[in-house]
Amino acid sequence: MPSPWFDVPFLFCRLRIVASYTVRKNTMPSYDSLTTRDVEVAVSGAFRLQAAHGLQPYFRNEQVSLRVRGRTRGEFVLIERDTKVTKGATAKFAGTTTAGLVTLTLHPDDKNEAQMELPSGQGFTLPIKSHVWETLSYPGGTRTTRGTVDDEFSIGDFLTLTFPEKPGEVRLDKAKALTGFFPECETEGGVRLTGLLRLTADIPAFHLADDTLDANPIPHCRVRVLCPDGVEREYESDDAGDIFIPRADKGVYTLVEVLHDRAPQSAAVPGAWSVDVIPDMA
Amino acid sequence: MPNLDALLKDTMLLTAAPGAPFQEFGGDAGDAGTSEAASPSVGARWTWTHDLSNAGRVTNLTYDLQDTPWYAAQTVTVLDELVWHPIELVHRGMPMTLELSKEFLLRKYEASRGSINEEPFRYWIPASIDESMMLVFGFQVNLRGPAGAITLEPIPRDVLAWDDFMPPANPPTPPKPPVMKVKRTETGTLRLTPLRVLVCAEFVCCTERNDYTPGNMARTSRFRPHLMLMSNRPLDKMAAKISIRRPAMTTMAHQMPEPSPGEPPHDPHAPHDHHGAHAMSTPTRGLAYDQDEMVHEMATGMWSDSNTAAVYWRKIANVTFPPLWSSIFSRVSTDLPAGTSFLMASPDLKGGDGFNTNIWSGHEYRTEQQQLMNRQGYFDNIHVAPPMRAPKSIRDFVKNSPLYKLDTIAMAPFCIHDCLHMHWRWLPAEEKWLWGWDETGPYKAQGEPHIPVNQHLRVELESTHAFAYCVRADTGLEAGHWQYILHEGLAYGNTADKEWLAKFMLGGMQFLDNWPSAAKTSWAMFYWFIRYWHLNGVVRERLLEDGAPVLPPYP
Repeated sequence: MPSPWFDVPFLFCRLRIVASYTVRKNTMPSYDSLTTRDVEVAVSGAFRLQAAHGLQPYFRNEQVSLRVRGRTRGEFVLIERDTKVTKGATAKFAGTTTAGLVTLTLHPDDKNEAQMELPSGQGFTLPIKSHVWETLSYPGGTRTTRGTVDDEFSIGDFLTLTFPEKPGEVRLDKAKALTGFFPECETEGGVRLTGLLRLTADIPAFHLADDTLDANPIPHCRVRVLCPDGVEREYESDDAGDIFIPRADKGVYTLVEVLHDRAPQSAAVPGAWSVDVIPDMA
Repeated sequence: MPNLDALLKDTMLLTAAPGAPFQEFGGDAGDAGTSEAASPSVGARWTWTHDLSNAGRVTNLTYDLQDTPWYAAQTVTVLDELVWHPIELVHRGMPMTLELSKEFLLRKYEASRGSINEEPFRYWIPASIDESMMLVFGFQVNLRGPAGAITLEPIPRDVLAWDDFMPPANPPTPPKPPVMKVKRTETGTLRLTPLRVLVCAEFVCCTERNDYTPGNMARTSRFRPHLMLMSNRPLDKMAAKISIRRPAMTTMAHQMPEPSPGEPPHDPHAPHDHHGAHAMSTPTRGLAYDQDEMVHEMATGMWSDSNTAAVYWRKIANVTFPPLWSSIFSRVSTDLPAGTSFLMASPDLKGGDGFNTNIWSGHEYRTEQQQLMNRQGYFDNIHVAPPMRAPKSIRDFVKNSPLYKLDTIAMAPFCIHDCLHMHWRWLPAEEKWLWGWDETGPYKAQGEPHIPVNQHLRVELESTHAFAYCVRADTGLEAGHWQYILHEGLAYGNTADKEWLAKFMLGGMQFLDNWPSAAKTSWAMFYWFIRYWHLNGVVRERLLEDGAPVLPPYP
């Protein structure tokens, strides 16, 4: 089916997956038990998708790595008469996942649906250490075993989203996730996806976001940048918090300062700084 | 580097009851408590109502009084309402208003038992708590808001768990900021941290103790409706206001007197005449209809302690030389009208030579200059209570001399009935819990105000039974430090610490020998005498009321 999306060579994608929830429930209703899961994880990625159109508009990048930061805690307690068994695991982790494949397939028909896939088992893993414990309490005493086990945090999902007939930005926060991104995670209400697919010729030089788990983009924030020609220039972030600067092949651009002469940025101070490497794909 | 849970350990409620349960609100915590209607929270003695839809307000605060020699056990209304008004802040020249509303509510703690022991003695003196609550509000500047404006949003829940949610009180040297460079194939992301402000509104009700006055003379029950505020960035200015509103009429009931000869019997269930007065019982026998009375309408008075009065507080039960107002106070104004406003403490006020006081010498008024403490302002305390009225035989005794003013007798320096006290400064007393703030905290500076040293306190009368406690600060608003507002709390007066001593004192007052016999059992006349001098129909205030004209010498 003809579609102007066949003319789009690149998409710039920024996505963020946040899981933040606490669940306490009896998962074994016929027993006196309690399962607790406390999860706070943020996964973010910024990458380009290159056109590889076939019968459908199709984009892909097989070298996408995602940045991960989070903590999880799970515990299961079972009480049977005068015996109590507690098993638990907790982990705190931060890092970058192994590279994986991201694909986007558009179906330009009545529904204008697209599928974005981050296939499970093909990258997007991060080795982590989990601290585990098991306690058995019984009338004769209490026995506790503790240890550390090698574990793996992995991400993957199959998203369905709607795209406009005419090429334009696509927000990801309305996308429907099939499996919930993380193994065994609660999908209802606990995990949210935000982000944007942008049709930009280049990648942004800078991105401004707040320091929350959701990393909300900060629009209309003015910054001063030292350009390779030695001149400092002012730029302002767009609605998505991005600052695009036409950049030469060589040279370094330095974000000198955020200008605080105007609210609400006057009430902000710089925090963490990170760099995403997004290689040319042409 | 503290997270929210670590910070809240500094609060009074969680010092007394560390494991107090809480409800969570705001951010992504759902709608917990949405359906909760306002319902009374009932403790052993204190009861109050708090409605989440009007989070900055506590209503109908009552106290269960026990039986005393002066009134029967009963429940009295201490406050109609207490209102925490929006807090005004200025950061980098930008003003913002923090509404203590449900939108910004993060947690609500409740506890009805717990105690603070002798140690540590840093911010909270020993107390046992009754029905109490703490509201935790979180505000942050919405960095995605419209350009040129400051809009606020609740602090997201995930931020509260961070170890660097607020900066440490004594931050180490900050690390060198990163060089924020990118090449053509890189995108640099800079995270910005917005201004965040945490506000704890505590409403801690305490059980009865005897440590509110010098010499442990009175038994009072404190309540502590203070605010604690902390920001992650220094602030330019802060202003906060708390309204404390008593009922217009006292709700206290006294034993109805026997009817005087010729009068019909009293119906105890009949509606009160709110323009009349209650009779009070007395500790000794007498004509039942010839007792102290209590005016229905509340009145508000303010006093300043004399800075040389410590010795007189020690003699407060002395029946021969009782504590006269002229020796115990330096300034007084009773029955203040609505709209009155005074600066009560300020870092701009330096101690030393202060205002002049007119003291009656027995012949004429003499002027004495008061020596003031640092930061000491116009008055030191406020009392909201119904005045007393002398027994009928005594009023009849001097009925042709209105100068005696026996119809409205203010209670001080302690109050025998239905009085709400608030002292933001005490004289230089021996007891450390009566000492004021220095730069390091409360209970450190003898005779100085109980107000953080950077705060200016103004007290405004909203009516004759309500006042607003207004503080502002434009220095010392550092990041990661709590700012305490109304840390000194208030107290409801219950009775004398040693009731036998009070009875003895009242019974032995030789200075009332020349009055009708009812005076010997009259608290009203005790209060009248320590305020007024009289001889041959000439009456003078021992300490001339603030602003009153100086009357001529005794002829």
